[in-house]
Amino acid sequence: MELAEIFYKKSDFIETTSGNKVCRRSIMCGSQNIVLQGKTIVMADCIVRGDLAAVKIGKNCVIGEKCVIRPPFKKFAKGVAFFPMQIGDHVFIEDECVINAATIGSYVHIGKNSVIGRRCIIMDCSYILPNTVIPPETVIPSYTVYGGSPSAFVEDFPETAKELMMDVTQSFYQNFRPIA
Amino acid sequence: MTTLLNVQRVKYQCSCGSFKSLCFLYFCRHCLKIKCKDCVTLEVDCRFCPSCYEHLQSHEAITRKNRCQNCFSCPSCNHTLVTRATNSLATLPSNLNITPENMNAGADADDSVSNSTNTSGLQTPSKKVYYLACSVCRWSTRDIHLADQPTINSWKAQDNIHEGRFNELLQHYKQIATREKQERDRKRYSTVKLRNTIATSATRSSSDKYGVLTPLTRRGIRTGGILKTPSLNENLIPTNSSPKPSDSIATIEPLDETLFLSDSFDFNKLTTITQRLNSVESQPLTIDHLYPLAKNFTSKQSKRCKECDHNVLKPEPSPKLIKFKLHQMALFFIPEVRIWHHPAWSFDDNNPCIISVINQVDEKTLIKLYTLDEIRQENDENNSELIERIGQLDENTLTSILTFPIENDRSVQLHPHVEPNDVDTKINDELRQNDPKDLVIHRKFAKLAIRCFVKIKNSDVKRVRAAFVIEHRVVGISSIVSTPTTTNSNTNTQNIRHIILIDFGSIDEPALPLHSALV
Repeated sequence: MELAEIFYKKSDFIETTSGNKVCRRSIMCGSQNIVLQGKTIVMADCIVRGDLAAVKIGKNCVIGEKCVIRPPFKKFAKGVAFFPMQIGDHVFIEDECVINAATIGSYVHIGKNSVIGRRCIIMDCSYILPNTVIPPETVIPSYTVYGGSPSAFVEDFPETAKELMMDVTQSFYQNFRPIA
Repeated sequence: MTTLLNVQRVKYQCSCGSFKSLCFLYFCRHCLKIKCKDCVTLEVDCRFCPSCYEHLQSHEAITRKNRCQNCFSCPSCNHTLVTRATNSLATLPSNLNITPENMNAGADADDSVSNSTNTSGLQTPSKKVYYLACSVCRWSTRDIHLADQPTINSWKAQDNIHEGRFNELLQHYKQIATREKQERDRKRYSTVKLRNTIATSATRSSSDKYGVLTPLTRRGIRTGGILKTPSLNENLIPTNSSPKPSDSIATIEPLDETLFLSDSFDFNKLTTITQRLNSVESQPLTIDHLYPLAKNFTSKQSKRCKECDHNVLKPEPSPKLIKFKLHQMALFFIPEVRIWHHPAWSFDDNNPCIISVINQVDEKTLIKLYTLDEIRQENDENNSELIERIGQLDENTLTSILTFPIENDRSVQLHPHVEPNDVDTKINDELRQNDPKDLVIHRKFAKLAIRCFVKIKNSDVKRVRAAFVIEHRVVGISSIVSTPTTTNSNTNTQNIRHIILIDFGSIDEPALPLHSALV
């Protein structure tokens, strides 16, 4: 099915020159450390903790409502250190997720309400089912579907993942229209 | 993203008859047919650990039994184990207070031997020792009283008590397989020389008889012969070492029912069947005997059409790359159909629906749409197979009939595939002039919106499902290579037709919102 149009009030969102659309109600801590590459949509009530470490988000991403994006930490003998977090291009993160992952590859789809443990590595072209809890320090290989809590491999993902994700994120961006 | 786009609503029929969504299907350019996962054979291309992404050559991976040496799974919950380091005292304990252990999360292999000071100020050298722990169920190697290892990757695999017997049996059966194959080949091809691709009969039998046949060895069996060398004749002499036959047990002890009544049996310490079968060699009964499981390798596979044996999908050999050397997915050759709008369903009238057709090919395509009834009426010879397939469609699945506004000759041009961000609109307007007005509502780059009517068959229908046929031209590759001077002889273009089954949803579903471009 084609994606439905989503309308938003122009006053609710800030649109940057590179096409990023960030909701005013989202909380961007340490915004100088947060990099959005272009045409990324950050919906309402998101929390992005750039004050802990650098957060780099690729282009054409969609971050749903009420998400928490927090860089992972590592405990040392002398304290904790926060690691920079990187999210690839064309990533679709649905609502209410908590993301502590170290790296999220490109063309990833993360379902609603899932929790990604700290220092996880999600490789390109994978799909995390809704309501998944991924334990810390797991590696999720490409072209797989992971689900359940704690997460386990469910099935293989079709090899057209990259084209599908590009299509979805680009049409989502085009269907995300302002009304005055 | 399959849920975002609801791809399971629109299904195409594969050449084997099953209906699958377009994104799961492959397209063989030699036989010009859609292939699904069941119509292709798999070959393992690249073996790697899913956790550390260590890439091994096939022969090396097979000798290591397809298991990683560094990554382990928890025997209790099957999650990846994490190596943790602690400091432990290396020297003898003295009368002074012992310093407390401090735990570090994660593998700090680069830290050198640390010194810990106790309260009186004297330095006792302490070494880092490592143990494995699971972050999900909190199991650790300390639970099975395994000593902490001084070096980071020195967890040995458990000894298999049955290994000697297995090897004996395996050798015996390998010899039988070799002998049988030689006899079979000798009967068929006595004078054909062996092709140089097949090395020796010994390596062939190691992967053939009791394993998956790769096409290489399959072709070798079809066309290969026997090398007439003296070394092979030596192998023909059967070795007389047959293994000891296994002892059969005539009677099995009955279950002692007092076992459950006595207190000596602690059910909490028993392993579950899943945990037991994860380590098949040892199958521990109690949780004291669980051992970390080495992680199984996963593979990247290349897929081959079963009919014509040509490759359909070939991934890059490196595990980290997601690209493909050969990527013949049906999504790239066949126009994609999606549901764009349907009204609230009413039983009597023709409900007007809008479907979108997207061209994925890099050139202009002409597509033709047919309803099922039209195909049935066409009594062409070429169509007999298609008519047969339509006849095989279960009447219960097709709960509705789909018709188009125009009676016949519905052909529409589609623009070549462009990225949605492009803004060139000139070609759009050209093609728009030739569009039949009732059929095509909206056109934007490679996407068309087509109106159709859906009439529900009877009133006790729960889900609205309809089917139609789409025809388009595809450029295939012919396997016959003619003389180098001719230019176009390697391609064969054909019009192919596909049956598309659309599941509009439950009958109670409300109407989809109409896109602003379609109004």
